[in-house]
Amino acid sequence: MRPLGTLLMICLTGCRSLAPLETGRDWGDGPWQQEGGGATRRFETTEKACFPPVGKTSLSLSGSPVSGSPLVAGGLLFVPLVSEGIDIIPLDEGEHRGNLSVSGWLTCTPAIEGNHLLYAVSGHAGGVVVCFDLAKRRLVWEKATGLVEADLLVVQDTLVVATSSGELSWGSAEDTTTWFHVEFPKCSIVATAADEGTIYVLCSNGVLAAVGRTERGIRWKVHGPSPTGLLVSSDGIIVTHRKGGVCLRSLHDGRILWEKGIGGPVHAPPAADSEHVYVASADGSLSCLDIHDGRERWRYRLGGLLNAPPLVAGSHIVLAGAAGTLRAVDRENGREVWADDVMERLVSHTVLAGGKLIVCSERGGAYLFRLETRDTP
Amino acid sequence: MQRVVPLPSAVVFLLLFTGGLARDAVGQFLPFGRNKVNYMSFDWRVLKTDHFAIYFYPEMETLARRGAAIAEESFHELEQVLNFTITEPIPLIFYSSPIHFQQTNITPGFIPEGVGGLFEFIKGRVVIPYNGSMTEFRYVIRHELVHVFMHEKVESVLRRYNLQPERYPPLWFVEGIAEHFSTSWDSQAEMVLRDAVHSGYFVPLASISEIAGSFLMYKEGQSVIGYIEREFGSEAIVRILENLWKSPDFNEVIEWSLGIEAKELDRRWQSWLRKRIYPLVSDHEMPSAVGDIIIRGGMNAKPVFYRDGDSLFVLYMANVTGYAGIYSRPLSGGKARLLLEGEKSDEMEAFHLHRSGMSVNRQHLLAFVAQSGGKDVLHLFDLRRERIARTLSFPGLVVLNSPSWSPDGKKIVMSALAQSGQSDLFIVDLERDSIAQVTDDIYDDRDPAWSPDGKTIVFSSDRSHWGEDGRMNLFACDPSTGEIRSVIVENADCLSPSWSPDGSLLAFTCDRAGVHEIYVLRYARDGGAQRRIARVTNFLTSAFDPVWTEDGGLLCTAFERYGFPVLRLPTVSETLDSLETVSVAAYDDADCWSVSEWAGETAVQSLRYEKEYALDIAQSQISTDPVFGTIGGAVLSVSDLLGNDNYSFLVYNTAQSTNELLSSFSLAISHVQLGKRVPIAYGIFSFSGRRYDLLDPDEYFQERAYGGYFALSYPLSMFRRIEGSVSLTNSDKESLYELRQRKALLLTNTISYVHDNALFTITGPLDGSRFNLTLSFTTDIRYSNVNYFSVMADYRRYFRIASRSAVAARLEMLYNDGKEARRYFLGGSWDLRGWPRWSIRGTKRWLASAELRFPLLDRVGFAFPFGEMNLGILRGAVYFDAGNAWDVAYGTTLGSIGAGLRLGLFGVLVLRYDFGKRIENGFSMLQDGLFHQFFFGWDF
Repeated sequence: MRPLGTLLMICLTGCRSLAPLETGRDWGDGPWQQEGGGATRRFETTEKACFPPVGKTSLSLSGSPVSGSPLVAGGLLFVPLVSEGIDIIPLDEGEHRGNLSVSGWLTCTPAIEGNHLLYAVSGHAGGVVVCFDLAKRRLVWEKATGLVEADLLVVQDTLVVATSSGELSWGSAEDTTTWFHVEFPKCSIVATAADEGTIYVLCSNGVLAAVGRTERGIRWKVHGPSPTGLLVSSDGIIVTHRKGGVCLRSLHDGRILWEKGIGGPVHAPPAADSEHVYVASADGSLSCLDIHDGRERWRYRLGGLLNAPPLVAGSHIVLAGAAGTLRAVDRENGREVWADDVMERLVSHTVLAGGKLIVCSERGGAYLFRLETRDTP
Repeated sequence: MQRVVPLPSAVVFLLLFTGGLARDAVGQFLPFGRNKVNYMSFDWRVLKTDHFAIYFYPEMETLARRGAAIAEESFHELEQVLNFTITEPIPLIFYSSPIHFQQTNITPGFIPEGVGGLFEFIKGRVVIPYNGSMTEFRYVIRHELVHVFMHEKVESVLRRYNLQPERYPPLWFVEGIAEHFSTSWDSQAEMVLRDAVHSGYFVPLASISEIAGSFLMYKEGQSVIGYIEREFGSEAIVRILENLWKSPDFNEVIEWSLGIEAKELDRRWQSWLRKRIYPLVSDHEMPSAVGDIIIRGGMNAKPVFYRDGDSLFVLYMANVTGYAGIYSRPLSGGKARLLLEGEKSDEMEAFHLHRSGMSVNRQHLLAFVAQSGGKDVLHLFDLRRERIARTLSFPGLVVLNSPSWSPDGKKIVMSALAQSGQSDLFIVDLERDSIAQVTDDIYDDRDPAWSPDGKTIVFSSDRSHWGEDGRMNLFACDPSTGEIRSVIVENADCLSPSWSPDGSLLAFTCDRAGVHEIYVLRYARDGGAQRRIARVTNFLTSAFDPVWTEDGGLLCTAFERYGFPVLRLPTVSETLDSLETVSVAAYDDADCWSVSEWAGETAVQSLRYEKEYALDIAQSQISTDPVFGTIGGAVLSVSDLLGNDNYSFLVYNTAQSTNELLSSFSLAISHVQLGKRVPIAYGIFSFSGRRYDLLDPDEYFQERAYGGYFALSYPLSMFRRIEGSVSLTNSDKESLYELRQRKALLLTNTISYVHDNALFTITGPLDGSRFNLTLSFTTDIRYSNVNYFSVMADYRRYFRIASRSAVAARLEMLYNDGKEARRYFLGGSWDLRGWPRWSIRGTKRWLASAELRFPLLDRVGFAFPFGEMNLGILRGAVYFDAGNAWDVAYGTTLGSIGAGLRLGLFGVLVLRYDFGKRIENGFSMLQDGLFHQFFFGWDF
C-alpha cells in the first residue's frame, strides 16, 4: 500500500528495543497452557458451565480499554490493554496481580504457546510481534511486521501473524528466521484460522485463501462478499459476511457448500460445535444453523447491537450485547436461561475458563461471573 | 444539519452587563446586536424512552411521541449500520415549528432560515424543529442521530488509543455520511450535482474545504460516501471511522481503509460522476437555452404574474442584497424595483423565500407571509399605493405558507402550522374576519391554489400511500364541502400547482423524470381515474413554481449556475399535442398512511422538566500587560440542558508580589435567566487590586469594590430592545502615589434603548443601521463622594451602493458630568484613526466618521507544493474621522482622512491596516507625511 513508508517504519522499528518491563508481584512459574473458550478459534469451551452464575465480581484494570480479548492460562487471566500493557490477574483471587508493560499499543488478542506469551505491538513507528518467556521473565525475540489487528494464531508450534497491509507470515514460534510470507495486496487480513496442515486467510476485500503450513504459495483462493470472520471445522470453513450471510466452504478448494442469509448485518465471527453454527447478527438475534446444510434450527432474539461472537459453553450459548447485556440460552432450543446487564459498553469476546465467565468493558473494567460446573449427560 | 459550538450565553451576558457596570474604559463600548426573542415560554416536559430523553411542550405531545418512535427506530438501524451503540440517553429537544426552533437557547447565535436541525456536541444535545412534514422530520432526526453516533464512535476510538479529539473527520465526510444514512439520493441532490458538473463549479475532494458548510459540500459529500459504499461496501465507511486512530492525516486514513490513495478516490469518484452526468447533457437543455431569463443572478423564488392596466409585471421574492425582499420587474424588460425589504423591520422580520409563495388579486392586493413578533402574519400589500393595507394574525397558527386568493378577492386559502405542529389548509374570509379549517389531519398540505371558477382548491400533500416515503402528490378540495379528490398520485414529488387563466389547465412541478420539471395537466373536475399530462420542460437541472401569464405562457424559477433565475417559457400550447395519460386512484381516507407513536417495552413517562446543570466552559488564563501587570484567573460556566438558565463564576488575581495575593483576589458570580420574554441577570462581585485610571496625568490606584447588580432586557422585536440595570457597589479607592483615599457606596442606574438591523459581512456591517441611547446615573448614597450622570448616544447608518460596497456613517456623543465623572478616550484604529490609541481623553466626547467600504480581493491565500492555505477576504476602505474629547474646555476638533485594508480571517478576526493624514491645528491643516496603524477589530 505504501511500500516506502512501510519499509521506513520497519527499519525504524527494528532499531528500537521493545522489551517489556515487569511490574507487580510474582505471577508463578507456569505452565501457561491456554485454556477455556472465547479467545480460542472455535469460541467453544469444554467446560460444563451451569447457569445462572453464583457470583459476580468487577475488576478495575490498569486504566485503559481492552484490546482484543482476554486469555486464561495457568490459572491467570491475561487482559491485553490498548495502551497499558497486559494486566495479569489470578483467576481465583480476582485481585490485580501484575502488569506486563509494553511500549506502544496492543492492537489484537495475544496468544500463549508453552511458556511463551506472544503479542503484537503497534506504535507510530510501525508494528512488532514480541515473544516473551513467562517463566524466565524475559524477552525471547521481537520481529518487525507492520500493523497487526487480526488476532495472533498459534497452531501446534506455528505462529501465524497477519497484518493490516495484507502480509501473512507464519513459522516456528521459536525461530523467526525460517518464516514463510505471502502477500495479499490492497487489502487487510481480517482473520486467520488453521487446521493441521493449512492456514486459512480471510481478507477485507472478500478473498478467502488457503496456504500450506509448511510450504510457500497459495493453494487456492476464492472471492466473496465483505467478511466478518471465519471458523474452521471438520465440515468446512464457516465464513460470516457483513451484509448478513453465513456460508460453509470446502476445505479443499473453497467452494461454497451452503450459504444462508441471516437478516441483519453481521459484525462478529461465528461460533460452532460439531453439529451447529451460531451466528450473532447486529439486529440483536442469535441464529443456530445446522452445520451440514445451513438450515435454521432456532433463533433467539435479544435485541440491541450484537457484535461479539457467541460462546459455546457446554450446553449453553453465551451472548454479550454491545450495550452490556449478557444472556445464556439453551443450546438445544435457544431458550433463555440467564440474563444480566452490566450497563456499559463491552468490547471483548466472552471468555469462559476456570469456572469463570469473563467480559471486559470499554471503560477498562472486567466482570467475572463465577459459575458452577458439572458433567453434562 | 448545523454543528454548533455553543458559546456560553452566561459569559456573553456577564461581559455585557458587568462590562457595562464596571467603571472602566469598557463602559464606553456600547453594545448593539439583534435580539433572540423568546416570544413563547415553553412548559417543558420530558419523555423517556429506551435510548432517549425527549424534551417537548404539551401542545406538541402527540408529535413528540411520534418523533420518539422515529428516533428509536433510527437508533436500532444506525447501531447496526455503524456497529456501535450508545448507552447513555440521548437528549432530543423538539420544537413544533421552525419559528419556535429559532428561539432555542441551546445555541446563543441566531439560527438562519433553512436550518433543519442541529447537534451540539459538547453536551450531546440534538435540537429538531418540525415543519409539517413527517418525512422531513424523520430525515432530520436520522441525520442528527448519525452525527451523534459518529461523534460518539470517533470519541470512543480515539479514547481507546489515548489520542486527542483533534482527529475528527473533515466536514464533508461528517455531513456526507449524515446525509447518506438519513436520506436517499433525491432530485434536489441530483439537480445540484448536475449543475455543478455541467457549469464547471464542481469542487474536487482535494479542495472541498473551500466550500465548507455550503449545500454543495453536503451533496458532494453525500455523493462521495455513496460512491464509497457502491465500490467498497458500506463497511468501508465504518472502517474509516474505526481507523481514525491510525493517522492524523485523514487522507492516510482513507488509504488505510480503502486500499487506495485519497487522490485516487477523488479521481475515480469524479470520473464516475462525469460518466453518469455527461450523457444527460446531450438529452437535456439548460434553462437559459430554452427560456427567456427575465431575472438572473442570486436566489429568486415564487414569481407571480401581475397586470396593472396595460403594464405587465412579474413579482418575486429574492435575496440579492443580503436582506430578503419582494421585487417587481416589468415583464417586457427593464430594471427590477424593490417593493418591500424584509429582515429590517418589526413587521417583516423574515420572509420564507423557498417555502411560501405569494398571490395577487384583481384589486391589486398582494398577499404574502412574513414573520413578525414570534409568528407568521399575512400581509396584504396594495400594489398601487405601495403600502401594507392590512395585516392578519391568527391565534394558534404559528407558521403560514403560500396564500392564494379566491377569484372574487374576498377569501384567501393558505397552508398553516398550528402550535401542535400539524400542517393543514385554512380559508380566511376577509369580509367576515373569520378563518375556517379545511383539512385536519397529520398530512403535510401545501401550495393551495384556487381555481378561476372558485369551485376547486388544488394543493400538494403527502396524504397518498406514497406519502409515507415522503412523496407529495396533488389533490383537489371542494371548498364548500371539504371533499378531497386525487389529481396526481404517483411515486414522485408533485408541487406548486398553478391554474391557467381559463381554468382548463394545471401547471405543476414534478420530479418523475429524476429532477423537477414543469408539467401541465388538462384538468376536468370529474376527470375520473385518468389524467392527461404533458411535460413542458426538459432541463438538465430543475424548474419550480410555475405560474401562468395571460397569453398562455409560463413563468418559472429554474436552477442554473448555483442560482435561481426566473424564466419565461414559450407558450405551452404545442406541448399539449403530446399528452400522456396517467391513471389516478380515487382518494380514499383509508388508504392514507399512519404514523405510530412510541410504544416501547419500557414504560413511557412524561415528566415535568427539571433542570440539570452541566459544564459549558471551564477556562483558565494568565496574561501580562506592561500597564496592568500580570493577571491570572479562571472562568467557569454551567447551564441547564435547554440553555435557559446559566451560572458563571469568575475568579482572578492581579497580585504583583506574594504579599499582595490576598488583597488582589477578585471574583464574580452571575446568574442569567433566558427562556422568557424578558431575560434577567443578577449577580454579586468583589473586585480588588491595582487599577489604572485615565486621568491626566494617569494614575494608579488600589481599589476594592464589592456589590451586586440586577439587569434585564426587554426585546420589543428582533431589532429593538430596552435594557435596564441597577447596581450597588461599595468602593474603597486609594491612590498609590498621592496617598488619597476615597470611599463610596455607589448606586448606578442605567437604561438603554438599542436598535440594530445591520447586515454583517466578513469585516463589518454593510447595510441597515444601529442605534444606542443610554442614560446612566451614579451616585454615592453614603459619603456623597461621587455623583455623575452619563448620556451616551451612538448612531450608525450604512448606505448600500453596490452588492458589496457601502458608505458607512457614524455619529456618536458621550457625555459625562458630575463628581468623579468617568473619562472617555479617543484615538486609535477603532475611532479617531491616525491619532495614538487612547491619547485624547475627557469626560465628554464626540466622534463622526464616514467610510466607503468596498471589496478588493475575494480570496487571499497561498498555494504551496504540499497544499493550499486560504487566509480570507481582503476589503478596502476610504474614510474620514472627526471628533474630540474634553473635560471643561473644548479645545480643537481633531480629524483624519485616509484609506485602509481589512483582512477577514475565517470569520472570527479582522486585521486592519490604515494609513492617512491627521487633520491638525484646529482642523486647518494636514500632517506632514503619513501615519500607519495596524490593529485588529471589526469595522464600526
